[in-house]
Amino acid sequence: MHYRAYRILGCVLALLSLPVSAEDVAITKEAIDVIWLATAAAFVFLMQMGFAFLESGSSRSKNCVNVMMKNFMDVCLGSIIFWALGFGLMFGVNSTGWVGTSGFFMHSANSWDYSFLLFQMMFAATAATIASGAMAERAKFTSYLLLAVIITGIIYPLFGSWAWGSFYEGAGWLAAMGFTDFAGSSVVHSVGGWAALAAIMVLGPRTGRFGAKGKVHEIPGHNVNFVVLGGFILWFGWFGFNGGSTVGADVSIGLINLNTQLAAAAGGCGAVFLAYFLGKPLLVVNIVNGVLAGLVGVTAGCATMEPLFAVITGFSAALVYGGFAALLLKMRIDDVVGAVAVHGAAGAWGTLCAGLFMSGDLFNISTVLTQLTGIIVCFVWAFGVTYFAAWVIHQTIGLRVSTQHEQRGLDFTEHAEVAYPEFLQDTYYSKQNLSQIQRD
Amino acid sequence: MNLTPDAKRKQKAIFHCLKVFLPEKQLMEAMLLWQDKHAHKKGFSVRYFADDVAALTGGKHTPKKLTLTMVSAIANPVADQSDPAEHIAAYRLQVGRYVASQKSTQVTAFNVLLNKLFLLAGGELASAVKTHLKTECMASPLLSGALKVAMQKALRSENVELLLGDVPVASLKVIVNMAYVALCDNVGPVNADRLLSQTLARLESNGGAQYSDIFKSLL
Repeated sequence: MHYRAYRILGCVLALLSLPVSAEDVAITKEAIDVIWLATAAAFVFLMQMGFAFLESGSSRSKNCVNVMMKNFMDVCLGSIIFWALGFGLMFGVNSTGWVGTSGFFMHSANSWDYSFLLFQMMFAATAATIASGAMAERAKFTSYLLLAVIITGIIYPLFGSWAWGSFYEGAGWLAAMGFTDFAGSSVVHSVGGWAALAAIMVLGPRTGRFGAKGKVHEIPGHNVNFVVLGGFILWFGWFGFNGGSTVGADVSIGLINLNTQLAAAAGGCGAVFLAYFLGKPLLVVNIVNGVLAGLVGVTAGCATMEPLFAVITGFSAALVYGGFAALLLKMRIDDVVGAVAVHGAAGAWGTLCAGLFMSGDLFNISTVLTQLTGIIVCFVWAFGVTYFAAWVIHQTIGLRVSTQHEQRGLDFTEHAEVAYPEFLQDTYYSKQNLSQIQRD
Repeated sequence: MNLTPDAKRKQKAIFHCLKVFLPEKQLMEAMLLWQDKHAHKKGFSVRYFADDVAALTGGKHTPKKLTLTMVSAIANPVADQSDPAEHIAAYRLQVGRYVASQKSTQVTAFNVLLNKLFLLAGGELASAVKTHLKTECMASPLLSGALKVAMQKALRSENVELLLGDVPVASLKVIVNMAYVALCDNVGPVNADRLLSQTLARLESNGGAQYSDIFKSLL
């Protein structure tokens, strides 16, 4: 036994002492980069599952199939649109700093380019799916998909081209100013969040959400367990979201993912603190959203801040989420899952924190002002264009379902099925009579 | 008023034919007479109806003349004539000459459903929903004029009873949805769903099972 072990060790040492060329190293490095990027893309794809669970659990049971369908289809459509158009606009050769002009319908490219497209495709799908949760329970399925295509194909990639710019040639004008958004607090999450805000303002609240004299009627989701599971899955996926933004195997992934974890944990603690401070009940949905706010917040600066500041960023992002969510309620804006507060507001705050807590350049006013510029541009662009698109859709094919459909549930009226036919509560359908009832 | 397609055809022909002879009030009285006394008869005889119309006019028009005109109108229908059903229904409502047995099953089920819903909702909430319904029904472009008038009348009483014969299920569904929206605005959609569900459950276990299919299409 010992003799065999020594023989193996001897072979390994002999192999290690063999001379290795620079080309071999480069090939190996490229392979490892591609493997890491593809793996990280799979992590980010898993976040779609997280969103599906979270959004579905936050909706009533009569609408949860509709929510799942929106999550499923926006990644299907978004992937194709981003491959065809979005990637080129975002990462193509960018001589003006405003828009990419190459890389559409990518083909005949090298392995790293394909893996980079795959990774960025998952980001694009994330941006679109953020809006789906906010719009749940009253948006027409086909109209939502149209909006998702516009977000994935135009709104998200164009802002991305300004903030990140080309990986091939040229730089976005915001990036050239010094704007920092490492993994997309603004590029992905704020774009998605502000797009969600625009869409729900055009849509209007769910029927009965706000009663007379400012009364707010609570509409609890049907499955809190789903919300928690979704939160955990999103948390897990975020290690690929942030870690993969190195776009290659890199030793900085250690710090990046440590900051990700710390900010998430601090976000959860921040939500608990806020609840106790305000004397409000400790709701698990708020804790999950606090964690997500922490994750969104640290996404911009996870590569460029020390762990202590990741904790501060995460904790404060949860407070920002809580405050913004309360503000939206006061303004009678109905966001089913808190997407605007988590992704829009916490994303903006995190982008600012990335400037405030830049390692080796703390509290640099010039950096902070650059970040602020990017945050404002993000809001104006994402909110403005989405509002216009949603308004046009609303005026033409209609963005919202009828109150009749809201009453019956979108699962039945949009998809002719119900999620829990054996366990129906407060609905009128059973497995036996589903096929007999007129849907319109 | 549940008329067979053939009766509806005859009603249209008779209406437009008599319109030439009779002033508005007498015409409407004649049509009510046709609906209540002659429309459902298996062997409809124009002659007996013409006798009744002649009596209505005080002998101004002879039964023979009326018979010949009506037979000709029924035998040669004009395609683009308007259907007078709604007009007649509105007049019937106005003069309050309603025959209870002519209510359709859908309308009966609708009345039963609404009344149970209001009972479960309770005084203040039911009152708020009724007020909402009064406004929304009048404003809705989806409901016919006769139905709007009938709903206003029905909502004035404690026990809501829509007094119209043949109302399309789609229209009744619209009204039920208006009630749902009013419930949502007052008590929130979760409680509104619960109220509708309880209404259905109570009805199905307590005398409303016969209307079960209609309830599901109304909801």
